[in-house]
Amino acid sequence: MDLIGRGSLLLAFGLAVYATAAGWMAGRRRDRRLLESGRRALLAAFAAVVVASAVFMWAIQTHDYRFLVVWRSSSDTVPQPYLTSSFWTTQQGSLLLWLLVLTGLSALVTWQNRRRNHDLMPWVVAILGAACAFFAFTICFIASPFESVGAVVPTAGRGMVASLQNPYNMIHPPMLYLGYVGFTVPFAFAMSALLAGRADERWIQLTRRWTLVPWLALGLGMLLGAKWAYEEIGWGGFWGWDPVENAALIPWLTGTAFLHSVIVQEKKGMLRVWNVSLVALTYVLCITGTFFTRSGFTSSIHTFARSSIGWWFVAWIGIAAAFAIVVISRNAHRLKSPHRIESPVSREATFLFNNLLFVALAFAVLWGILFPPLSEAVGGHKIQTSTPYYNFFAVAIGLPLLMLMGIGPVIAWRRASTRGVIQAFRWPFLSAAAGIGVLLLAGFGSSVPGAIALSLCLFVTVSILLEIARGAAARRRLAPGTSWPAATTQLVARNRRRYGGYVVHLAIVIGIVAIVGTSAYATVRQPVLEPGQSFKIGGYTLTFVRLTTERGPNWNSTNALIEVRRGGKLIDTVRPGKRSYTDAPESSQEVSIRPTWTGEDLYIAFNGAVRGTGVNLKVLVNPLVNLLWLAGLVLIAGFGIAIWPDARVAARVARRTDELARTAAP
Amino acid sequence: MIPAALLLIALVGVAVIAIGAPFLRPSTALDVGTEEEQARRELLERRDATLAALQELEQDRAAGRLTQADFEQERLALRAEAVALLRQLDEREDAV
Repeated sequence: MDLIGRGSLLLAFGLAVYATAAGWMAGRRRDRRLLESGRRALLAAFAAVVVASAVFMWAIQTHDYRFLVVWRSSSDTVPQPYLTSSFWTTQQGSLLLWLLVLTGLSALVTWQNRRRNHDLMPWVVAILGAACAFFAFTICFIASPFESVGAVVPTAGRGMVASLQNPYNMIHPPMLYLGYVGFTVPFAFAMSALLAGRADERWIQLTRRWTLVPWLALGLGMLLGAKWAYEEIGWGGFWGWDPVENAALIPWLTGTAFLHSVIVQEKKGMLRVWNVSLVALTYVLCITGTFFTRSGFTSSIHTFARSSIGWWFVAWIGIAAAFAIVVISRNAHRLKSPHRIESPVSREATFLFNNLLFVALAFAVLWGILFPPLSEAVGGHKIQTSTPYYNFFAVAIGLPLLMLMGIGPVIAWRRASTRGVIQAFRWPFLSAAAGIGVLLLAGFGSSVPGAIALSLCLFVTVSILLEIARGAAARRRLAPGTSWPAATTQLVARNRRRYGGYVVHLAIVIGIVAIVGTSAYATVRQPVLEPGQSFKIGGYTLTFVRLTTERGPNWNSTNALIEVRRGGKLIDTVRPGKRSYTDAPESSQEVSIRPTWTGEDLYIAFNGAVRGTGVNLKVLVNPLVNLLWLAGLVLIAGFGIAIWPDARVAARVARRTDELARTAAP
Repeated sequence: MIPAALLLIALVGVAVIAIGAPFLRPSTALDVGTEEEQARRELLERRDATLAALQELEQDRAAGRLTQADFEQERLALRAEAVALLRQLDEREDAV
């Protein structure tokens, strides 16, 4: 078994190295056979990694404790499907999953382009091959999932970390990896376009979906991680500015900036240097995030054990960054834009401001991760960057970004007149002004940034809905008798990218409302109660009845039986508790979450028994929190609209290809 | 151990055949296009983007997102750009 696993990984490494060399030589010599051979090497590397992954999964499912990683991360009593998820709960297994996704995407990209884009593909094969080779190298020689436990094989595994036995852990890490890994594809195409001397917008068009997919995956990965933290950690929040959470946020922010700035390049031919730099930066930040998680550089509940693997990641980050800098600087003359931004009051300028703010926020968060270890290295003791640091930048940069989200889609390209600006923004502005008045009257003035953020959310929402309504009205004027829903559907179908983007903006607004609700207006209490005692919070009355115990397949728990009343009426009985696992040293929180239709949660965490019969609780009333999970669904819907193939774009590309073929014919 | 080794050898064999097979065919050059084709492709892309922008501008005007003055100014600029691009394309076609 281990021979097949190790051998397959070595084979994958060899094939990836070969693909790099073959692709590079094919690009230099313009040799079709070398390109085809390199492409096949990537396909074969994927097949080899599938074999290695199957062997590893088999070892997990059959509790084969000859493998050190299997012994350390599972046991006979870990229930399904958590046993399956132990594939990626270790450093070694997660790297294998990373390689599986990377080789899979590489194989798919090269397969899709087997008959087209022959000027770019040799370089794409080379760059994807190099990325695969790096990860295959780390797995083969530094962190192998097939490492042997030794001469004496244990009869029982050490079990799985308790907090990882959660449904969201089944999907959260693979989703994040898809995001991190996926950005390799646009990076490879951007660099390949420059290596092939093609500085036009084609690489952007070719990678539009390849950029949207990892962006969505990273976003959903973070959201699922937030849901996991909310349910599993027991502190009542979903985002703690943990270094590993931040490590995923940073490339997502630069990726978001990139998704906006490419629109300017496609429409106006501007920001070419900026876009290739931004996609390279996003890729480097993806690897940097992985370095933070795997090196022991930062301390977090998410990190893997401290290991020497970090230095290899530093080397790869250096190579990727240096490669990108050399390629971009050598092609700077090709990337000169024929146009300039004419006015700061224009859509181009709004996109540029949006980009600068996204990148500034990304670097503020990055500095927050880097500062504690650097302060320790330089000054001898670690100075932590805590929540106030991050909140300051989130508010200072986030609020202007939110405002730009309402301005960008509405303002005119090139130059907007004062009259045009007033015409476009009078209703969104008046709505926001009225909104802030209502919020202050309703008592939301307890948090000034919160009230400003909520009124800006209203500004963006009205701005987007007006946009859609104006478009639908125009369609109805063109085709009298068309109903409003039909006109709206036609409008969206005619420009899916634009209106899909608006739906994504609405998702972000919904998410921000949830974040503001919980961060600015939550109520928290930490009562200690004896049986029969009650306390009040946010309109609820909680009565602690008694302690109870429960037993599961591999755990025992102690719970607090609590009656929940509202307006004197019993509305629920809940049992928050703490589980101890029979096969893992840690315990896990089993919080009680009681959602309401208004988006509010009554959140109760069990902080331990007191004097044998009493209980220590943490209770929160989190207003609007459930909108965050709704935002995820709206985000997926917007993504679906934006990514759906557009027949008009396809027809335009086909016509262009025909024209090129016609004029190229002798 | 022996079946595993045989399976591994088979995997390596398949991989070697897969990557070696293209070399059994006669050598051909990749069709990467000439500089002229590339320049023309870029002009066609710019032309399509400009025509799409003109179309979008009309939609924006119809939807009342732009004042008449903003619309006229942007339309003139886009039309001038489109005319320049079409002229460049014609010149290149004449040269061919």
